[in-house]
Amino acid sequence: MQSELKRRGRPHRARTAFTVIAVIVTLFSVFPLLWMFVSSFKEGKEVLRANPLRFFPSQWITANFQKLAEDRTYPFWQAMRSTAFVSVSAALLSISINSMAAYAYARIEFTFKTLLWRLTVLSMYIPGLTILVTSFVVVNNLGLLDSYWVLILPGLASAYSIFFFRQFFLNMPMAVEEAALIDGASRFRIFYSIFIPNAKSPYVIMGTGAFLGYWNSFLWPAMTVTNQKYVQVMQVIRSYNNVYANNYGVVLAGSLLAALPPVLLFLVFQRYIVKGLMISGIK
Amino acid sequence: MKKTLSFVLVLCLTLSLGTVPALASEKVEITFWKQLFEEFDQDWTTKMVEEFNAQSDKIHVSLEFVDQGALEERMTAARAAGTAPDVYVVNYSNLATDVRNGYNLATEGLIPKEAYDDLYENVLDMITVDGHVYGYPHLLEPAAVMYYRKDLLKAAGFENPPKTWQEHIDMAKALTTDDVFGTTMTMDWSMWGWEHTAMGHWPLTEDWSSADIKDLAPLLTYIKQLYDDESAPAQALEHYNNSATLVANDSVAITFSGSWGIAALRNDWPEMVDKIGVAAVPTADGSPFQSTMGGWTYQIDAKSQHPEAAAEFITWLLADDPSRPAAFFEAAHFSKYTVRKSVDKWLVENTEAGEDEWLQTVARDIIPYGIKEPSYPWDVSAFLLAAMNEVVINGVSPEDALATAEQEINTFIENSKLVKPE
Amino acid sequence: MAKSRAAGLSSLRRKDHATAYLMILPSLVALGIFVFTPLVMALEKSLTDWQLYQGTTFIGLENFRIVLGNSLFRKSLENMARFVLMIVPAQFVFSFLFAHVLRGMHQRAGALIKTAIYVPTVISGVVASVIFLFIFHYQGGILNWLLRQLGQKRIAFLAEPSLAQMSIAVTSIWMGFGYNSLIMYAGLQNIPQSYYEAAEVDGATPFKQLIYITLPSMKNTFILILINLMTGTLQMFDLPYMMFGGAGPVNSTLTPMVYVYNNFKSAEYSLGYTIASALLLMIVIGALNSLVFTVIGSQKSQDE
Repeated sequence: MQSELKRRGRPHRARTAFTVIAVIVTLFSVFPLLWMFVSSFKEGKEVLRANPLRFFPSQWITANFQKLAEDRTYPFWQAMRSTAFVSVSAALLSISINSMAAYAYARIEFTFKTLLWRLTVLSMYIPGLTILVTSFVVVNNLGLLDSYWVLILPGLASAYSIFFFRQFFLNMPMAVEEAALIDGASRFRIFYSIFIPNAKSPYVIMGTGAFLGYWNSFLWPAMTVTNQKYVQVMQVIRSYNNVYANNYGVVLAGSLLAALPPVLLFLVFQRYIVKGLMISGIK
Repeated sequence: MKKTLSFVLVLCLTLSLGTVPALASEKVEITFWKQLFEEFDQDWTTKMVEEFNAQSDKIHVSLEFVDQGALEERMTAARAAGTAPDVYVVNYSNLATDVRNGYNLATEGLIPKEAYDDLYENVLDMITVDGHVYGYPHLLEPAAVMYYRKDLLKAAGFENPPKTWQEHIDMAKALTTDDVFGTTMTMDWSMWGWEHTAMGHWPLTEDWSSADIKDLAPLLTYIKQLYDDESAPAQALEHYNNSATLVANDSVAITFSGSWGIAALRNDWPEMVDKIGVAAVPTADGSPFQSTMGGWTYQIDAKSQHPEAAAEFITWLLADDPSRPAAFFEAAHFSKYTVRKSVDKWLVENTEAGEDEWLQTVARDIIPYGIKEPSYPWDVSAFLLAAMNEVVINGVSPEDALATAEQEINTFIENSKLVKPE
Repeated sequence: MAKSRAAGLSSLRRKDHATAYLMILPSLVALGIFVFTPLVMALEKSLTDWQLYQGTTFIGLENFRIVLGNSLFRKSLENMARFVLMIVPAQFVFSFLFAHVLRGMHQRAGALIKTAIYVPTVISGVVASVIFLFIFHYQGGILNWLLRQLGQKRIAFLAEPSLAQMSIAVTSIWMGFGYNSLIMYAGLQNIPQSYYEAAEVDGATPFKQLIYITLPSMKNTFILILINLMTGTLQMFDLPYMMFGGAGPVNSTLTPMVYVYNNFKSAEYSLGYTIASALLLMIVIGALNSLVFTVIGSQKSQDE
């Protein structure tokens, strides 16, 4: 009897206790989001009404969402589209160039390798804000302002991403690769056919991470992009917070919609992400 | 062959001659950035730009709205990139800083003298720096106006709004209930007027060499009393700029905000307008309160490629036919005040400006005592606000808090080698 | 014969070199243009009073002197230190504990819980700020409503200096809780069950198991989490900016990043000054990061 319990792991009662705790803690995580959800359907003046405080709207209205579509200066849906384009393309580009570089650092010997690697790692310690102003000057001199390029390119150089991939690649077995090399396969071939397919986890983690970083950024877009075609969604939400100070429902509605794509993305990839966190980089 | 060639040549010549007039009439392009203010302001600005473009065959203005929170960083970035707009809008207190940095153009040669003669004296002073005039002003708005709920005051037994600090303290206490706060007293940039009225001068000595704030102690004591009585909410319910709505949505009985609150109330809370009164801010002894006069002025970028065109646009919009600015003030429900004598005259003759109760109160009790916004660096104000917070929240005595603030201001002056501009 | 093979091998090596360079080229170009060039420029500009519309003069280290003497800058460093102390240990402990809860609960509900706690992580700081501004509101916020229902007095979460800092800390912890818990969880899952079973056989108490098995095995995970937390907190911008605009009550929520940003947009200070403050910040952050590395003894950075 005792050994059976041991095999099953913890006793049932303990598991239930833990589950209850987990649920309570999770409620704290989730409650503010639920509040945002219901409040975006409330009339502006009701959002902060305390007497009486209503969690659910007295009347579910969609006016806030309609206002988003009508804003002349910061068109919401255009911003969503633009941000989606930037985030997806940037994420794909980012994982491509960074994983490729990581492979080279992990598997190939070449002159200046240590120097270049150290340089790359060094760049991780340069906070974005330090080079914010001069980065702006650089992109201006390159004529990239007010375009998709200025939103996508600067963030592609992510040493952390290279670091992460490299860590993963270092742990991959060399046997298959060596055999392929002897057979005369090119490095690119090996990278493409052997490494990429077996590295789903880091690709998903870095890809979704990059997507998130782009989706949630507002300061760089605010400085570099002003054409309505290119404005990014968090930049727009920040402005809504100022502009719709008299109608909080709109700010919340915008925030809710702007937060959905990252959440959906995570839901789609969550199995990979959780598994990936377990396998990679913890060695 | 020769005939065809000469025919083609003549054809080309004719065609090019035909296009030459078209080229000559290509318009000069001016960029104009306007802050995102109230909707009526957006509507007026858009309409005016359209009208201007339609009636001008030489200049085309392209208008862009930017939200205030993002504007400053965008202007810095644009200036660094050399893409700053030809025409931009800045408030009076930041004008001198722009001049110091060389960001805007002096306009005495670009905007006609008659336009400047039409301005009220004190307004002309606000756009004059070091003997030169910069741009043209659009409006004036007192930054401190008291809004109160007539019905709530009456129910508590008060016929008139408070005139002195003591009256304010007593009334606020009587008006505070579980769900309604008696008053607000937001400690923000808006404190300028309170500071100047309480001391009779700015927190710095005439030459900006050191702090001069000992006379502020009574003001701090008064503010603290409001918080101690819990008549004022310990945490601001709204930004100062937005506070007028608090009397409309039953959050507080007495509040302070800029005169722009009048427009907010008329637009968003028309049903409450009859219950709300407007008055000058209470002072220690009932003497007139000196509100800082905020407002916005249109400027020409120093690196503009077309300063004359920009000047022409600004003149047309603000300094020319009075009916154009007047349309703005009407749309603003007279919550903003004109800077030109001719526009004032036009308003009185052609609109109900003369009959508006709130406008009359502001014009009579607030504007005559208005003072120019200060131009010393924000850091000084920040130290004073910190002192106020220390007194109110941490219970530090006003004298101690002011001593600390004085020290910090003096250190700051020394460290940054602060010099008063001429 | 040997000669041709040697030639073959060296040409292979040359081809390898070329391939390697090709592979790292895009990232190097990106780093070069968008990180190192701006950095060098920043170093140069920080020694001037960089004027945008007027002549710029070289002023040497003057900017740095003024920044170090500026009380707001010093206050921002103080605040940053306080935030690190408020956020990092708390988040570390909470996520560590919750990782155990995740291990100990019914596994079928586990997937749902893991997803639910991760959602706040993908929310941007902008959105989180908007939500919590409403939650902490004095009159209409849910927390103060709750307090009133319980007969208590309202609390000025955003107006009292230390409470304001607490509010940011809470929001930050709320955002990062799921992510850090999952990483802790992953770390725990990677510890072979056999270690614990052997310890059980030897009669070790759960406490001893924690000290001698869990903690040592989690060292790399701990390092990863600490570095992430430190870096994130030291560079915190979104939350203090969105929730408090300029500086917060008595400048208590002014973080160094917000300080730099305020200087950037204000015409009061030259951009040279702004950049100097940003560079000083970089030095401080770099120093703190290396401190964490050395104190904990990183193995990761050693395997290069």
